[in-house]
This record gives sequence, structure tokens and C-alpha cells, in this order.
Amino acid sequence: MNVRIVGPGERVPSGHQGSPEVDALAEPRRTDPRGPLIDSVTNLRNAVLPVAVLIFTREADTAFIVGAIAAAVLIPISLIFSYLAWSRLTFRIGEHDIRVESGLVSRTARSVPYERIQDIAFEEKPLARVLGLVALTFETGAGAGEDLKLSYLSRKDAQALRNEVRDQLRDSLRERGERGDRHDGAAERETQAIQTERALFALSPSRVLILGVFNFSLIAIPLAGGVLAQLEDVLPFDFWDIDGWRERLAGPGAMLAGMGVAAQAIGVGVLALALMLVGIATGMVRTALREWGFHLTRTANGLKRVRGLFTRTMAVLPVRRVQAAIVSTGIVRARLGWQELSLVSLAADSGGANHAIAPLAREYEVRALIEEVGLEMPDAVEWQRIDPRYIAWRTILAARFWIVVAGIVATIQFQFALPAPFMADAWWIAAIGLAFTKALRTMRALQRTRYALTDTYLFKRSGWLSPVLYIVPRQKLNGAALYCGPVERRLDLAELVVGLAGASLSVPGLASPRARSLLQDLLESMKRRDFASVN
Amino acid sequence: MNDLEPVDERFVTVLRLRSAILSVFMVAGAALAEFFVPRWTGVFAVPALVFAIATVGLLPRRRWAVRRFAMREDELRSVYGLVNRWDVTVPFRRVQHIDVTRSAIERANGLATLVLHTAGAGVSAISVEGLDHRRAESMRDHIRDILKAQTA
Repeated sequence: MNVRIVGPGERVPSGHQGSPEVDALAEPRRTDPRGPLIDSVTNLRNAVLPVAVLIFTREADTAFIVGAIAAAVLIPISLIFSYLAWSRLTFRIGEHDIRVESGLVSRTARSVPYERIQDIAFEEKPLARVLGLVALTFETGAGAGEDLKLSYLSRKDAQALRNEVRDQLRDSLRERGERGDRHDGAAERETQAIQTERALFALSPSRVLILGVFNFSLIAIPLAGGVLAQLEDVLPFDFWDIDGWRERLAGPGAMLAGMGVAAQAIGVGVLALALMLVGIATGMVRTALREWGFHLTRTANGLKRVRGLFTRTMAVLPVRRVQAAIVSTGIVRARLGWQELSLVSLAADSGGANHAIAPLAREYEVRALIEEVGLEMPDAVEWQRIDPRYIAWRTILAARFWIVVAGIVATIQFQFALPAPFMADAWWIAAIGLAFTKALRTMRALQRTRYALTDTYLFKRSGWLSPVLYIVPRQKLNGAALYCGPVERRLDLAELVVGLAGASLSVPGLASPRARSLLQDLLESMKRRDFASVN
Repeated sequence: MNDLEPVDERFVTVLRLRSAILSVFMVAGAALAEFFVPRWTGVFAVPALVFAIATVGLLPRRRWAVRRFAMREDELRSVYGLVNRWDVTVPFRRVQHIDVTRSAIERANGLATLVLHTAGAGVSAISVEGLDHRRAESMRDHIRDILKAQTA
């Protein structure tokens, strides 16, 4: 392909682009030619650390040579690749869509229809800023990394381009008979700010501590080991000197050793207790750092969550953008009547897709919050079970690994003479025991799995000792699939998988015809409204 | 509704070439292993050759044969997988943007892959591999026009 290099806004000789209809407005353009410089510097930044390690592990004079060679090899390579990538990227502002063609060997032509653009964002990273360049992102709500991003453009070009696209947006909106400012995120945010807020949920200090107990963690132990290793030079004695410890413990220790098995059992008990206390304390500290002062308020458009002991973080979750709710719990929490509520959302400004909006709450609180965001609890629905043959097969599958381990252990013990500790029957019995536990857990969890499809919702409940409930409004679903593996095919079963922004949900073990009719039913409701009109 | 149609037959060649590239590496690795590990003749070479013969020779046509798609009025459906069967449907109303991608092998055979992206995870994108390039582009333009018409 012979592409002449042109500046931004200049015409690229067309003809090879292959679009069947010739678009008068759509002249291919390039991003700013200084872009590859920034890209290559960004790429090189990743190489700095390994090279630095390489240099500092050498003698002073060879270090210089290593550094020079690394620079002489890496910099040109990085520059060449960045330049090639730049030269192979063109974009067009067409009549119907924005089109970006990119890729060195594998070529991708991405088309974003104007109807789907929700926001246009400028991004100015420090390095780009120095050169007066910006990255322009056309957000479609397709999730991080999948939006259309033009990096980099000069600020002037970016502004011109934004206006150009805004004009196109306005045209396409006028055609749709909607107000032109609907896509202007800033206006929405402003009205949001003036509104008064209403408290919805808060974690009291005692709840934070209870939550801390459930967030039991032994991460402190290896951490403490790491800290000790760092302090080695400072401590007045050698921590790892076992003989020294023996001496220091000679007094009370000798007495303990003399008391025999009973004392050792007590010792193990004390150690376990100590570990537990450390674990609980760690959990409490970590939880307190994150969740202290947790409170959730209702603003005009959404929920606002503030939390954190030293670093207060704030996240705003527009209600329109809530995709689903997940009510989960833990084995002990379930017995004590505690639940956790998280929302799946596609709000771009609050990072990840899963947001805990009530980490430790009573059932009535969870219910109230779910209603607050416009969702419903599955109160009067017909729960359906999944196929028992599927459960049987999955149970066998769950036990498989440890059964095989038990078999291997028994065979080895039978064939070879190993030192005494490895010959005990306890080993393969333990493996069988694990197989049973896993099988039992899988079986019970699947036996408890239920799903229900109403006119407006897909509900799913799963789990045995710590049940989870998924509440998915059907209008938020984006696609659906049936999956079946070799065993499922023989049993005439299928798994229904539905996708929504930020999550996917699957209902396994359905009889094939049933799965197919569920799929059709769900697709019908998806076609009723546009993604943009429900988010 | 059985309106599923097969993808372009040239896709068999694409599958063969893809497997061939992988097989070359596997057979070369096996040959090296045979060379360095004495006595156990064939332990590496035989599985590698079986893999090569199966994935280059036998499977591509069957994999092509199970691959089907349906371009409907308001949705795209894609069915694929010899062992693990997937049957994915995405309604056009949920599509955010559309890709037509072409790897070097696809380009050499005049084929392309059409990908419809929806928002988010899971069944977030549907792709139809093994389409004639012009066909993929006209499908893309058709879907884009539908999006425009539906929101109008």
C-alpha cells in the first residue's frame, strides 16, 4: 500500500480505503506528526527501570557502555515503531460516522456512528502539554480502552475537530428530534451540584469494626517478615539466629519443652490464637482505613459515596447508569444477618464497574437502597431450578482434581519406598476428603441456584453457605449467547450468558429448548430501546 | 428461525495458515527436544505431528463448516466452535461502534472480520470471522445506516 505522508487536515490519496460509498466530507486525516515522539517516550519509560537495573549491577565503566548500547538500540526501535504506527493511522469525519483506520500488520477500521457518541473529552498529559498536544476521546460508553481515542492532536486542531463533531452531533440529534444539549455532560454535572442531598446509608464506627473482623487477613505476617528483613542491621540481635533464640528462651522455653505433648498442644493453640488476633487486627485496620466514615447520599441524579480515614474518596454514581445490583454475603455474615450491596455501573468517572454502596447492611437497608436506585427485589417471582444432570456432571468435575491426586499419591506409596512421613495413609485420605468437600460444595451451590425471568428483570440466586443475588433489569442487557461444551451437548443442555455494561451473568444447566426460548425472550426486550435511551 | 449462512470458503485457508504457523513452531520445538533428550524417541515428535496434521489438515474444513452467521433486520447472530459451541446474538440497537479488522493472513485471502462492540463486559462484542472484505464493509455500512434510521 503506497500511502503518501501528509500533515493533519491534508488529504490522503484515497481509493484503497475501500468504502463502497464515496463520502464527500470524509477526507482521511492524520494525527499530529509530533505524536509518535510522545508515544515513543512513553514506551521508553517502561524500559528505563530494567535498563537502570542492568546499569547499576555493573562496574562503573561497563555501566556506561551498557547504558549507551541500550539507548542506541532502544531509542531508534521505539521511534521507528511509533512513527510507523502513526503513519498507518488515519481518521475521517464522515457524514454518518467517525472512521479510524489503524494497524501496522493487522488493520482495523473502526466506525463510531454519531448517534452513539455520548461525550467528547480532552486529555492533556504533562508531556503532551509541553508540546501543546491533546488526546481527544470520543466516549461511547463502550468501556475503558474501547472508546475511540485520537492521540495526539494540536490543541487548535482538537478544538476545531470537537466543534466539527459537535455540529455533526447536533445535526444527527436534530434529525432525531431531540435537544442538542443532551450529550453535554457538563450541564448535567452542574445541575447535579446545586441539588440538596439526602442521607441514605452510613457505616457507624462499630459497623466498620465488625466489617473489619470479617475482612480477616494474614497479610501482615509476610509484611512483618519483610520489615524485619529491612531492619536486620538496626536490631540489636540477629533475628534469624535460631541458637540465639534458644538461649533467650532457655528459661521459660526449657520448662515448656519439659512438659511434653500437652504443652506443645497448648503452644499450637496459643500460636493459632495469636495468628487469629493478628488477622483480625489487620482486617480492622485495613477496613477502617478504607471504610471509615462511609456515607451514601442521594443527589439529584445519583448516589454519592464518601469514605476513607486519611484519604477521603468520593464517587458519584448516576442512577441512570446503574446496570445491575448484586447482594452478597459471607458464610458467617449470612448467619448473623449481614449483607453487602454493590451496584454494577458504567459511570466512567468512578473507575471500576463494581461499586460497594453498602458494605455491611441489614436486609431492610439493602431493600430500601435497591428501591432507591429504581430496582426491585424478587418478591413474588417463580424461581426455576437448573437441570439435575448438569449438577451431577459438575459435581464429578469438581471432585476430579483431588481424586486424581489421591490416585497418584496412593500409586506412588504402593510403588516406592518413601521416608516414613510420606507413607502415611492420611495423605491420600486427605485428598479424598478434599474431593468430597469440593464436590459437596459445588453440588449444594448448584442445587441452590435459581433463576427467574419476569417482564422487566432477570434474577439469579446462587451459592450455598454464602448466597449471592443478582438483580438485572432486562432493558440494560446488551447481548445474549448460548454456550454448550461437549458434555452439555450430549445432555442436550446449554448455558445462557447475558452481557451488560461492566458485568456478565450466566445461567448454566438449562434444557436446550428452554435456553433458546429464554434467549429469544430476552432479545425481544433488548430490541425495544436503544442503549443510549436507557443509560 | 434458520437463516444461518456459512462464511466465505476461503476461511478454510485462513484457518490452515494460522494453524500452520503454530505447527511450524511446535514441530521445530519437538525436533529440538528429540535431539536433546535421547532414548525417548517420538515422545515429542509424535504428538507435535499429530497436532500439525489435525489442525492443518483435518480440522479447518470442519471448523469452517460449523461457523455460521445471520444478518437479520435488527440483530446479528454468530455461531461457531467445534468443541465449545457458542451462539451469540447482539441487537443492533445495542451497538456502540463497529470494527472491520484484517490480519495479514486474512488480507492475503481477501477476507475480514466484522466486530460489533456493545458497552461493557461479557457478551460485549460479537465478531464474524471469515467474511469477504467487501461484504464485511457493506454489512458495516448497512448496520450503521440502521442505527441512524432507528434513532431517527
